[in-house]
Amino acid sequence: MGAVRSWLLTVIAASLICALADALMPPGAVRRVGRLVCGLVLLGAILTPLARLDLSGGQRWLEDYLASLENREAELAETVNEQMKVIIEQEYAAYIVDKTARLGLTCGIRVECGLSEEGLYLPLRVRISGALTEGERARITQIIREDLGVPEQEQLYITEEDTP
Amino acid sequence: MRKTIVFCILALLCAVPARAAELSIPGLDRVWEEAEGYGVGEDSSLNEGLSNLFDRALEQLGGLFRAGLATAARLAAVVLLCSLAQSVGEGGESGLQAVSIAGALAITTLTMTDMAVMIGMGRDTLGKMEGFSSLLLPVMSVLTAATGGITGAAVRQGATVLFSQLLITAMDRLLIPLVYAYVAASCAYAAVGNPGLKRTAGLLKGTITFVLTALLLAFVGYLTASGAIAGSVDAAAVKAAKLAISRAIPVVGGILADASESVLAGAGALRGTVGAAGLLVVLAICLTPFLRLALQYLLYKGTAALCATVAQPRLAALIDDIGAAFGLVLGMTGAGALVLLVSLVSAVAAVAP
Repeated sequence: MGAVRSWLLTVIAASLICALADALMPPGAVRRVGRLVCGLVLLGAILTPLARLDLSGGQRWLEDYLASLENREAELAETVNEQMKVIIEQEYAAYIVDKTARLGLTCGIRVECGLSEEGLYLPLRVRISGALTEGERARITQIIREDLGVPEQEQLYITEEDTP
Repeated sequence: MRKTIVFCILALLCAVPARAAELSIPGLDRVWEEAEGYGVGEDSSLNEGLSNLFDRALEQLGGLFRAGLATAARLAAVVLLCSLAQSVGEGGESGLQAVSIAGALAITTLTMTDMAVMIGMGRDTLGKMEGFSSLLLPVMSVLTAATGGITGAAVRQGATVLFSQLLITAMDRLLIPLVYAYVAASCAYAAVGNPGLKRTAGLLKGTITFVLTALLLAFVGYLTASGAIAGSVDAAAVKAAKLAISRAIPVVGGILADASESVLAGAGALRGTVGAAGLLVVLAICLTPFLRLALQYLLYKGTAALCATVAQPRLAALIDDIGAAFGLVLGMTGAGALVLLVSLVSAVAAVAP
């Protein structure tokens, strides 16, 4: 931007000097030659920046801008994924609570999700808290395994005595 | 009793998507705090806000017009005095030049304070808009990304920040010095009458207009082109995600689809509300500066037209050129507002992929 301003000011200064010279020159051959010289001076002032043009600076700037776009995209994806993970974990937990409620059982559920290779948040671990009998646990385990695909070894039952 | 239990279960199921839609957007509270400062609340509708802005504009219009009229009257008085001096003078070429030089200097001196105030106001307005956009744009990006347009959101925010900063830098380092140079060249032409100076002033005005137009066209063009490309990238990503969901265990797939739908609906609604509030705040920031600059522009143009009937054309042309300089400052401020408004409208109007 500074270079553009400097170029414009040079062109303006050159045109002012040429206007002054034109006013001072005597009419006749001298004025004609003088006008030719003034035209060449103006042309030189206009074309000088082309000789000093630096395209590498513009390329660096573009690379920086594109890199910042990629960073921002990654940041946004991370922010949205974090929010989605929490919401999906709550949805899975709500589903299990609903299923157990239909069986007449009361328990607390916490689901931990992980991002799959396909980019989906799938349930990895489930923590079930509450006073449940062996039979009730077996029914809940079956529901979680069949409906959500969480293997038995990733289902952790916590009784009220275990909770801190 | 059975009906009550069924009702409770249904209510619980209905509550799940509603709770899921409650996204926690970083920085949203600060946007609302800032918007409150401009009289825009969370419950303000776009029509209601525009109506309030219109009322505020009407309230300010009278006072601003009277203030501008005083300067216009002073300018008209200077031109009339010059015209009087010219008509009672000896009539020689040197006498005419002296009156022209004195008139041009008097007009420039009278208007320079206004010019500095207006340029400072335009710069302040752009600074305020930049400050607000630094809060608003990240929030809009997160909301747009939550509707599935992650690449589009990043491109839109990046382009808006880039062009806003480019405009402010151009204004500070190039355009404002050129406006001053334009006024100086116009003043010099009014004083000495050299046609080269008139051409120089025309070149400066043309350069400022060209830079502003090129910046805005480049912004809109880049936003449209990159938005279309980013939209197709986002659409492909969403399609792949939907395919993956359809392959998942039915219950898991159903839960994921429901969660995505509820988040999309929640984020889409919030994006509309925040976008409308953002538009109103940008318009509220611009209201007073726009009114003042537009009134100055119109008053100077009107004064120039009136003076042209009684005074020498060069002095009337100087007043006209100074009015055009206010128009250029108005254009710069308007360009800054337009960049932000176009970005907000395109974010609000973006269709979920």
